[in-house]
Amino acid sequence: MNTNFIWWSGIALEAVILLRGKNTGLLKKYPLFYFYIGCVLATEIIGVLIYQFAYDLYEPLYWSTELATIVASYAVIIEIFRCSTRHKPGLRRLAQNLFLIVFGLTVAYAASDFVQGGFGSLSAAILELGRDLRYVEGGVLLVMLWLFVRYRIPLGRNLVGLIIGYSFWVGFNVVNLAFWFLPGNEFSILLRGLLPATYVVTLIIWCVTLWSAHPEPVQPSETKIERDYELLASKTQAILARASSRVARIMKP
Amino acid sequence: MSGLLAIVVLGILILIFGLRLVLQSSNTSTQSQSVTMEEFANAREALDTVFVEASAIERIFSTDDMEFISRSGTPKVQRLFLKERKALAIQWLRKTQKQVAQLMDLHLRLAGYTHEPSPRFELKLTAKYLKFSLVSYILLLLLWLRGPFKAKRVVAYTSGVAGYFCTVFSLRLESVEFRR
Repeated sequence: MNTNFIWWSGIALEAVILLRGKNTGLLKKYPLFYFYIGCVLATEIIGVLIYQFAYDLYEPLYWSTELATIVASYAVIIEIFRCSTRHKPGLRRLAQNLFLIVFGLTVAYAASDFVQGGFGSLSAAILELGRDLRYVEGGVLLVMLWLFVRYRIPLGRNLVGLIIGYSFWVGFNVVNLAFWFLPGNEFSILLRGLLPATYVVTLIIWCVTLWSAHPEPVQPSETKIERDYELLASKTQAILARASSRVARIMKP
Repeated sequence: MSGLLAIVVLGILILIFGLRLVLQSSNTSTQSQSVTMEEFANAREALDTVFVEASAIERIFSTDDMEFISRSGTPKVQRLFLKERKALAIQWLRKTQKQVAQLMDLHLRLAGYTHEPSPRFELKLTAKYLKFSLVSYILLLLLWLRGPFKAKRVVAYTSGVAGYFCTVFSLRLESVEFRR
């Protein structure tokens, strides 16, 4: 009963998010995110139909669609990165370098883990691959969040909602997957039971924050700041040069 | 087991940073996102005071005055002197912490406009800032516990790092290029 309720709630919420996205124009603004939601909705509808009419096919289908949705969720991370660094060319370059490092490291870790796994069955292999892809996603997402917090990137309400929902989902998933592979762990059973509910919570976050289109934060007026900035920067440099020489003098033993 | 711990930490950090982003967004929604004229002026003023007061700071932590008071003052005067110096030292440290934090904040916001930020430099700066924060809080604790005259080496470090941040700030200003 509960499982069915969560299942149908998820489908309904995804449909609402897509419809609202179309009505508010956010679908054009965040196409990759809505592509992800569309993918999940399609796989869930197919899953429900297969579950009802061809139950034997459900298990193999489940694992392959699970993997497909994890791969599709990378579209969300690309969307977040694309939208948040639109006006920050320098930061975009810095983030790209950091992502490449993190991506390389996590892929290497996940690949070694995957190869050592010894695949008992196709579902186990897919589950492990899915887990490793989530770890990579988690690593990249963490770097992205750190950059947003550290550089105080101004984000619109819609984008913040998208990031929060996504972080909640990926964060919970990563912890859950880590415990999943720990045999006989009771905490893992509890977490697995909570996973569908956390997905519904994520969809509610997205539904609320993407219900209507909010304006993007205002970017600095370039001409004025540029003129004022150059004037102030030259003055500041002069002060700093004077100050640095004083520090050097004071700090000498 | 260590792998599991690393992954759990990764998941928890994602959740913590997500929460932090919510708080940050709700705080900055009422503030201006750009670096304003006033902030520049404040940063300049802050820098000026850090260095103009440098000789006075040296004096706060210098043992010369304490030696003089010990030789000629009564115990009551010594206690009063110590109390005042301790208050002054703590006040100076708090001010320095605040000014460095202000510079760091400005630097981070300006970094967004820089066309060629160096990842190595940014990581080095973060590490240096974290170290500075840690040492300055240890110094604060030392000042509370042992007074200003027994923490001179840490004071020298704090002043040195504050100077480093000012130089870094200067370099940042040189490299900032607003979008054209």
